[in-house]
Amino acid sequence: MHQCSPERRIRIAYQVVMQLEFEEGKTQSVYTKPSTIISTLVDLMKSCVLLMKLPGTEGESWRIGEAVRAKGDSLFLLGDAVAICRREYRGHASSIASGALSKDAKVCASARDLRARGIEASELLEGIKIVEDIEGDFIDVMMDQAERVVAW
Amino acid sequence: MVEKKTLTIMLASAPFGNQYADHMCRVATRALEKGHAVEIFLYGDAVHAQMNNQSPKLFFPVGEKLKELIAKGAKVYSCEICSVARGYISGQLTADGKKDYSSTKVLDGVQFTTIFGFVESLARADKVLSFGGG
Repeated sequence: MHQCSPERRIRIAYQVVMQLEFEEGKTQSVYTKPSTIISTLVDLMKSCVLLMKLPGTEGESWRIGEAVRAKGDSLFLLGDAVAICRREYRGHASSIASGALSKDAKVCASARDLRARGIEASELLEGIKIVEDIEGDFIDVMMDQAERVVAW
Repeated sequence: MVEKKTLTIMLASAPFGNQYADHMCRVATRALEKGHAVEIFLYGDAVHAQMNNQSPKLFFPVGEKLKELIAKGAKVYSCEICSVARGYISGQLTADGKKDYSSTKVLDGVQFTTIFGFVESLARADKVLSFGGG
C-alpha cells in the first residue's frame, strides 16, 4: 500500500471512509469531511519515527506506537530510547518496539547508545537491528523513502 | 549519487542538559556527508549552543560540532529574540538602520533571524525535524 500513487491513495482513502460510513448505516447522501479523508491519507503514508528518549506518559507512548503502522515503516532508537529494546523492559513504552516489530516494521537501535548503557545484544527483543551508523540509515530512510517523519 | 535535498532542523533544547543537541549534530553531520543541504534553527534555550569557547570536557562538544557543521556548509540560524533575551546580542538598530548582531560571545558563521526566517526555511525544506522542546 505504501507504494501507491497519490491518485490510488485518494481512491483507497475514499473507499475506506465510505465503507466506514456505510457500516454505520449512513447509506444515503454520505457527506465525508475533508479532514476525515486527509487523516485517512496520513495513515497510508510511509512513516519514519526517530525516538530519542523515553516517553513520559502512557498517552505519549500510545501516540508514538501508533505512528509506526505497518510494514515499510521504520522506528529508529537513539539515546535513552534504546532501553525499550530490552525484553525485560516493563515501562509503558515497552509496547512501542514490540508493537512495531509485530507490524513487521523495521526497528533499529543505535549500537553506540546500547554500548553506553551496557545493554547486550542478547537482552534485546528478537528482530531489533543493531546499527553502528544509525544516523546514516535514518537519513537515507527519512530523505528518500519516508513521507511522514516523527521525531520525539 | 543521491538527489540533493534540504533538511531543516529546529533545535529547541539547551545543550548539555539532555542529548537532543548531540543527536541533532550527529544527524546533521551525516545528512551533509550524504550530500544534502542542512539548515539549523536554534530556538529558545537552544541558542546557548551558539556560545563561543565552550569547554564541556566530559559532555558532547556541541559548540565544536556546530563550528564543523558551519564549515561543512550547514546554515545555522539563531532566533534573534531568544539571543537578545539571553544576552548574546543587543539587536538594537544601528545608525545605518540595521540591527546590531555583533557579538564576541557567538560562534562565527551563526546567522540571526526571527521565527519568520524559520518559516522561510520550512518553505525550502524537503524534510523537517525537531529536536527537544516541550
